[in-house]
Amino acid sequence: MTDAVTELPIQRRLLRAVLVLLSLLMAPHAANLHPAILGFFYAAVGWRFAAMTFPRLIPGRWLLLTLMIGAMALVVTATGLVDGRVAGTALLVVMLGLKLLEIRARRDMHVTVFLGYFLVLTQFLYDQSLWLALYSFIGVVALVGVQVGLNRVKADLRLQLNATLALVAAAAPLAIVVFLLFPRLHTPLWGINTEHAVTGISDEMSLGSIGQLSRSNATAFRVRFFGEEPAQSARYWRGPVLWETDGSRWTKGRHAVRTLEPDPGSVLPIDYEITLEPTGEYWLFGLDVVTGRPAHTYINSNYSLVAEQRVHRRFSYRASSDPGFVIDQLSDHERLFATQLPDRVSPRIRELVDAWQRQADAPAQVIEQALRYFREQPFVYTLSPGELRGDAIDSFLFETRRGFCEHYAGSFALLMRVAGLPSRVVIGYQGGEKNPHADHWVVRQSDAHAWTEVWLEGNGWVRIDPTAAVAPERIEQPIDAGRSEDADRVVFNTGDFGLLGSLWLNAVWMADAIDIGWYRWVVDFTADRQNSLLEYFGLSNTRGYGIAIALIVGSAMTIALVYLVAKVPRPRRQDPLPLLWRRFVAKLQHRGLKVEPWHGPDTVCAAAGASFPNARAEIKAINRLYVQLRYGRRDDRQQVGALRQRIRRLRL
Amino acid sequence: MAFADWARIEKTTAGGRAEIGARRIYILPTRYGMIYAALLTLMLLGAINYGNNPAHLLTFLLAALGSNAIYQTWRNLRGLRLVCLGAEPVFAGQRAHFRIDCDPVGRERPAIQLGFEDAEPALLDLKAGTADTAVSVPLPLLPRGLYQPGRLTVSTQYPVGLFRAWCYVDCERDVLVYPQPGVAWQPVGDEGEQLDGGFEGSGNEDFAGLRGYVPGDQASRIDWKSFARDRGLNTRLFSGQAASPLWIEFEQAPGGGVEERLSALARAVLDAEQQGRFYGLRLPGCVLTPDAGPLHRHQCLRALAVFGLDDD
Repeated sequence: MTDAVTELPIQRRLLRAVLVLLSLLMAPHAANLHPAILGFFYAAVGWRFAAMTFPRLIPGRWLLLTLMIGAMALVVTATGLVDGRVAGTALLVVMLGLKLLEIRARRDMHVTVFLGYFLVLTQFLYDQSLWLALYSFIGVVALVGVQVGLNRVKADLRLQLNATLALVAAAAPLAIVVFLLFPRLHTPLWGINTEHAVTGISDEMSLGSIGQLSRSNATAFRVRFFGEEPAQSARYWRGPVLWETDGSRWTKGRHAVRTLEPDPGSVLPIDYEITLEPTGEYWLFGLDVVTGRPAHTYINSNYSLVAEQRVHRRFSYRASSDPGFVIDQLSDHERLFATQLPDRVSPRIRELVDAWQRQADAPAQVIEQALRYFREQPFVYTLSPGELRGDAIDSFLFETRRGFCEHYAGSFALLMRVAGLPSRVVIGYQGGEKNPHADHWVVRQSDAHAWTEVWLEGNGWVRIDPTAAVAPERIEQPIDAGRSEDADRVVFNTGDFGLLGSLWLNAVWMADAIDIGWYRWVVDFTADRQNSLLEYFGLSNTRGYGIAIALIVGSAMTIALVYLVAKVPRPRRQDPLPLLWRRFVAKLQHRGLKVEPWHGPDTVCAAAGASFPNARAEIKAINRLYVQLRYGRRDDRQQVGALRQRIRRLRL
Repeated sequence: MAFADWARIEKTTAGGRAEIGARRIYILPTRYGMIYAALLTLMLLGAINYGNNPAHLLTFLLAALGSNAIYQTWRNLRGLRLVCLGAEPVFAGQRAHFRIDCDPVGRERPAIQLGFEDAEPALLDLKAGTADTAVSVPLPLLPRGLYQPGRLTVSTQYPVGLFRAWCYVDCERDVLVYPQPGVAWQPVGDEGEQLDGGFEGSGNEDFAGLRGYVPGDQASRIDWKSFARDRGLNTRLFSGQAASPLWIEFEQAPGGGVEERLSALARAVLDAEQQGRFYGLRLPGCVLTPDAGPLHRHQCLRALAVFGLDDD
């Protein structure tokens, strides 16, 4: 007799596994929850671990009730019940902790595992990154493994693992199909998920602010072009436009910015999709000059792209631009702002500009003079410009001559204004690197840039980038943020990294490609993307039947896969010999021979031989062959065929 | 179980064999399955509310897992082969155990539960490659009589416990329950023979000779010494045995009711057998001639077990 039991046992190792698993799955919440909530949970885990060794420590009903009231109070005080998501998560976490203390039976284990699944879901409300998803996925598979273990009598890790993987592998295709076809709501999703905003450019510029940003290698946004990709030197990503200055600081100013209605439009637009990392700000970036705006955004009179709400999580938008577009509007009101000067402009600056103006016939020549000044004087493009004392712009232009793009853009715009030319500063990004493993470009914080626009009658706003005069490489090559930090001059990324460097870089690009793929196909799988996918498969008019199609296709795929996984055995081939024998006997019986079921071949043969003397030899041969095949050496297909033929041909 | 009355039943062959067919398996969600479904609904609502796609994906993965579990649970039963071997007779008040051989047919089948109505089930993991795993399945406590054990429910919740697949198997094997032995008493044998009769206790004193072993003879009566000398199996005979067969009679049994008498008779049979007596049983309408040995004892007890129940 085997050791059968009447009830499934609750295994200590499974309890231990659940405690460890939940502890690991809880870890990512450290960034989202109040430490007291997390502390409560981990204390409960520790308590339960201790209770495994000392069962007397398992709390009784009254203690549990007290703990529960305490936990509720903790949730209320720690979260303040302001954010439903945070409060709900906190509630789940403390409840899970209490449930751990309460585990006595198999039922409790099941419920604990279920709560574990829910815990994973709550994490996605805070972070939807691929890495968290992978981490959680492994955790979920392990939880399924625990569930499998709960339903076995005896533990067997290998078999449990096999069963778990078979379950998950067969479930995956169905899950994916349902995911792709399940209807999504058409609402833009703005602020609910606060991701950790990346420090990006702000809507003002002070000396050193962009240089500071340039030290960061963090991704600002990713761009995918549909069709032609503009050259590196043309990739100016326009952000906020700054009008007002106090000499060293530039701000948006107090003048009203209108919304352009309708969009400027363009004949040969460049189409692209930008996936912006969360900035926590309203402004978006677009290739200079944006002429077609995406939904839920608008283009203002600065030709900057602005979102309806602050961008609190990754935001994808599809826009179009025309690099040759001419911004040819300047109202009197705007002209006033575009020529505003700081309260004090140093005499040296005035003298310099006067000298240029004396030599120039046209405004364009003043610009040329100014650029030549930057080019010919010993200006240095550097991230460490040193401290500027007194009148910052004055000492930059005439003494230190060391600066980053904001120094050059700011001072150039000021020089233009002193010369009476309307000018403004534009901040944004310049350049970007293409991911060799994907079809998108990555624009980093180190690509942050500032340039100027000068109003020329007849030409409209003309983009002038004084940085290019000082360091022409800047607009051709990305900055190497790491090496520029301590160097005297900015170091550019020339593409020479050595073997290890290349391998590492390759891995980084690969991770970037996977990350954006995850974002595009999962996180940002909106109703629009779903529709274009359905259209691609020619299912655009079946939108309403999404779930039905999902279930049918998914079920079919699941069944197919399950069969593959399970390797359903074919019914065994039936032994042909008894069949042939029965046919033979039936033939004899048909001619009147009496054959009983217990008669062996020899008996039948003898009786048949006596009854049918004509066929005696043939009957004997059949008998001999049958006996030989049935009781002698097996596996002789040909002989079986011969026997079949003889039986068929037998005439009685 | 009312459901089982019209449900499809897996019949056993004459040899007690049964193979669980695909179409005879029922499957329904368990309590955990219901909780799981509720949880998934909640998760889906959360995913939709927050427009969170990874949450959608997680929910759909778990849902697909649940639907896959239906198949896996069903598959854990399908094709399982059983042989209903039957149960050793027991006395009323003792629990009978029905012996079943399980053949998992090639693959592992964890957490297979075998159970009869009103009795604790037996639960075990069947390992791959073990042809016949013997399981003893408890039967409910029964009064004396001859029974068919009724429907065996074979079920499983493996792998995830969200669904329970089950199937009924008819075990057409008899289960015999002897009457519960009563208190000891002394039957009055036939007078003449009783004088010689060894009621002194063992009745083994007067060795009368050897005769060839006949199946059913008590092991304690076998002359092992002669067996050791290669003279074959012989049974020792005693004078008291042959001379004075003890008659155990219904009419003489103490107690008023039939059941009490049967209990007393069962006790007398057990005592006589233990004392190595030659004994016969006389019931209204049934006489068992004096003999000894386990087979005789069984026949006597069987007669007592089914006494008066034949017309059932």
